[in-house]
Amino acid sequence: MRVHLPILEARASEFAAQSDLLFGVITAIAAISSIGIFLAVVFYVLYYRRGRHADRSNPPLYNHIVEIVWTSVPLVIVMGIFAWSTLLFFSYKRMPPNALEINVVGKQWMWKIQQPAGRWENNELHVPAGRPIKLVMTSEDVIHSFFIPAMRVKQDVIPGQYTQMWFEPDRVGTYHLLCAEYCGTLHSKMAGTVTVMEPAEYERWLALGSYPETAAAAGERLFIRHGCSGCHGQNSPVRAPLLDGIFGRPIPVQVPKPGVPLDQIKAQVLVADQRYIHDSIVLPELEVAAGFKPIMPTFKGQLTEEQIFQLTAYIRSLGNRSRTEERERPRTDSLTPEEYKARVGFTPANINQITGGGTPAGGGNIGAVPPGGQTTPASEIGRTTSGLNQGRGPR
Amino acid sequence: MSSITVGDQAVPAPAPRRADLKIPHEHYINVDYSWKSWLLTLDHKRIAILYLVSITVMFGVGALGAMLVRLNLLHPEGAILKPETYNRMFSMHGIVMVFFFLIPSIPAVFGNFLIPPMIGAKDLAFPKINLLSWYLYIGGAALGTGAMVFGGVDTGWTFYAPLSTQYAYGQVSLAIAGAFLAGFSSILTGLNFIVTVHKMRAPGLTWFRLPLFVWSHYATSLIQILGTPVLAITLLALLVERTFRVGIFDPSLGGDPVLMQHMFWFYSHPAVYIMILPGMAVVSEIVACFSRKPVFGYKFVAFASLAIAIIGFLVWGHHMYTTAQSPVAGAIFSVLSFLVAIPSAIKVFNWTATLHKGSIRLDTPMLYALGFIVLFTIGGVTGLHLAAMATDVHLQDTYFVVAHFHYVMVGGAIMAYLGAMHFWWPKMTGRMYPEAWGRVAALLLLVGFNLTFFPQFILGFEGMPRRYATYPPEFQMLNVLSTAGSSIMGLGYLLPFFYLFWSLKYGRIAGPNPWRATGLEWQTTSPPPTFNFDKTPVVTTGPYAYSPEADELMDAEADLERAQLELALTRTQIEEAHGGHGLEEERRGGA
Repeated sequence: MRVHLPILEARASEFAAQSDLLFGVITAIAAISSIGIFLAVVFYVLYYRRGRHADRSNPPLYNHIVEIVWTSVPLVIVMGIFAWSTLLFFSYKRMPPNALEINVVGKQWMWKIQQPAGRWENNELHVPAGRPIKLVMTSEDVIHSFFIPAMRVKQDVIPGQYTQMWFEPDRVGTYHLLCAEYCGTLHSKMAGTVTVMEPAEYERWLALGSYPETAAAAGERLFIRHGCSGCHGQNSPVRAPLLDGIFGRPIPVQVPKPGVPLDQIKAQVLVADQRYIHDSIVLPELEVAAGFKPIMPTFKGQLTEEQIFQLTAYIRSLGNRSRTEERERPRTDSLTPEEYKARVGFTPANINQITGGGTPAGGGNIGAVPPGGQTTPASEIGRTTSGLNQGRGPR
Repeated sequence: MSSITVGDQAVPAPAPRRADLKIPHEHYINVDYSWKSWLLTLDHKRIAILYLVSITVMFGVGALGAMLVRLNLLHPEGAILKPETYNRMFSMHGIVMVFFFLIPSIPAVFGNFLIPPMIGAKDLAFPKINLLSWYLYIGGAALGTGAMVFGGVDTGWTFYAPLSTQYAYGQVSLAIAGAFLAGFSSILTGLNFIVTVHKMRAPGLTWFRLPLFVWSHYATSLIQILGTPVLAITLLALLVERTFRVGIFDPSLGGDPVLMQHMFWFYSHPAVYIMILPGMAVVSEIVACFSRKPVFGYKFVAFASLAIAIIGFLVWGHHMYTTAQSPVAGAIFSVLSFLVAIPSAIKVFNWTATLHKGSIRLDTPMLYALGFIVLFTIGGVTGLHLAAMATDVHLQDTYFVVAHFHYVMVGGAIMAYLGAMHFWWPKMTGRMYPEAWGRVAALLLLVGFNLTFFPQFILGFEGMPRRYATYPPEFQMLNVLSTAGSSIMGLGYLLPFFYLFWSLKYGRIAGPNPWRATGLEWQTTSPPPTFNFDKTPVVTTGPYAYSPEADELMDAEADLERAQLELALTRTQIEEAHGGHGLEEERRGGA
């Protein structure tokens, strides 16, 4: 039988090439050791088979030197493999900054994928060659796993979390897209293709589809249609944080505990990232923007994950817009909670002024950031942040 | 038992002549044939037989699932089953084989039967708990089988949430309850072994005189009592979430699905060692006996078992590199996973070195043991690809993983189980299995096994995910090859089933020690009496007092004796044929 491995031809990224090299070396080591053991067994069975004349005098019962050798040699080899693999993996986990970000929603049994320019695809992913592609993924139901064999990577897609993966395709072509985590009846049909195109061709392809608006524009419509703007809008009568410029910046929140009044809970600072926006929409009671009453209703069940992606894209776009204005928004990035309090103050009357940029504001009755409120890294807050640490690489 | 002395070593004397052998007048089987005497028995040997019968039935159920899975994969679009049914079949295969066959297999049958006689005891420390463990197993297996019959389960054996708690139809709760019960059976068996090994060893049987079989089972028992409760908690949490919609793992209820994976693998990775350590236990005994040599590096092999049991608890995260686990946590699990390979390698090297200067015979048990050594090695070294994070993100959840763990579970654990079955069959039943058929079946299994699972390594590297009812057409060739191999393997499983049954009545009588083996269990009659020994043995030497030279000498003498008999017989025949004329005359006539 001729050994034909189509997968080696479908190798479409630098990481895939490096992964294959490592695979080949481990396989060689594995083959040498398996064949070695096999040959040793066969040799002994033939040489010392019952009735064959052979020297059987003084058979050794143990030999410490031999034991030390065959313990330490494999140990050195596997530690070598470990070091190589781990360095390669860490370099893969370091997300390149200029990646094209694409949103993926897994649901039984299809992949819904939205390009930043707005075009939707089902079970298909079109990407330009020569540029890192970052996928931000979540699931609407069970755990799936986004698997592109040609890139030698997969990443579980987990409900209630955003997970990320990236790859940099370097070969034009069409490759398998598969679901690798068993997800129910039609698991094996949750498959499609990844098409890697020349950048110019990709631009043409993007322009071809009939999609009227970008993800952010779709998000803006949702923001109005679902009444978000009623509270979070510029001139809203309800006291709610303004969202301009909030994305990606540190903000203070209070994490309610059962049986403890909200005003007795210390505030924590976390980064208003994709995970935070998502959870604020579906689980608003989880983290309350410090200084505000927990009056936000949940939109769980009313918005799909795709829509939440769009809303997030919209809120993200607000950041750029309001940057130009830079009203009296305090710079919060480098402030301790104490400084923050001193800077912001608590003036319940003028919400809009205070909340510009998503900063906490006077709640009147409560201390938004009490003295001594500790600063906690985002990764330690909340139940779902862990997924978002994917791709940042080791600290 | 008599022995002869060669050099300064005492070795067991040759087996008595066949004609002198007989089944003892009274033994553990014929003391009472009533149903009640079996179902209420406290005799560890009878409980072992109860386990043997029940896990054989469950093996049949699991194998049926495997057969349908393999048949369906003959065609890319699914040859015979709808995806729904296919999913139920692979789930049945996994759940039944893991929880109701592999975990109890060697410990509950051979450990139960052999640990008391191996340490010179009358029974296990807690005979009633031993019986209770079998009833728990039967309860669990009944619930599990019920789940398969009344609707099936389509979650896979891993029961990942929220698929299992919110989205899966079918009898998921029943199956989970079954695995939960069977877990307690496993805990009780482990508890019983630990107490027995500590408290009931015969006079003079120090820790380092214990057979490696006992060491390995001791290590297994530690995992059973420390790991299985975590499985119980996990399964209970799944049941609570599925039944009462309490959010534990389901994010839509405020739970964390990755937490479920951590808890599940905290047990289920060590559970792999619950399955393989007893296999290693068996191989140590067989390799020593059939190469007529003590196991090389006894203490290293013994401590390697404990090292595997301990490090095995710290590697579960290598099942989760592709979840949201942080890369640093992944690196820690990765380095520990590489470390756990070392004690396994030590064992393989020591078994191979045991063959050096041995007097090797290839009876059926030895074929299985040698098969184990080579196949387990392949299973072990392909674990390196999966312990390495960089290659695992490609191979995770593909057929590479399937091939890897079947090399360990089937090529390892089941080969050892069948090896044990043939090695101790004469002890358990008093009769020999037919040797020629035994070898044929072992070879069929070895060939069929490799043909089934080797192509799956390639399939996995090619990128075919596991648990696929349908697959891209380019994978068909390797799948067909795999299915062809599985039919040969199926034959290899069926043969022993028939000839072992046959041997119960027609097998030749084995006598107490047909292999001239040295363990205490061979010093009593076959089958043993209810309390194993007429009087408690006293141990004065280490295990495996074999001498290859003495055996060669004994064999040569036996050959000489046989040749002389043959000569005399031939002479007589010729003389009779020529009406009393002598042989010399005949020769002259010929010339």
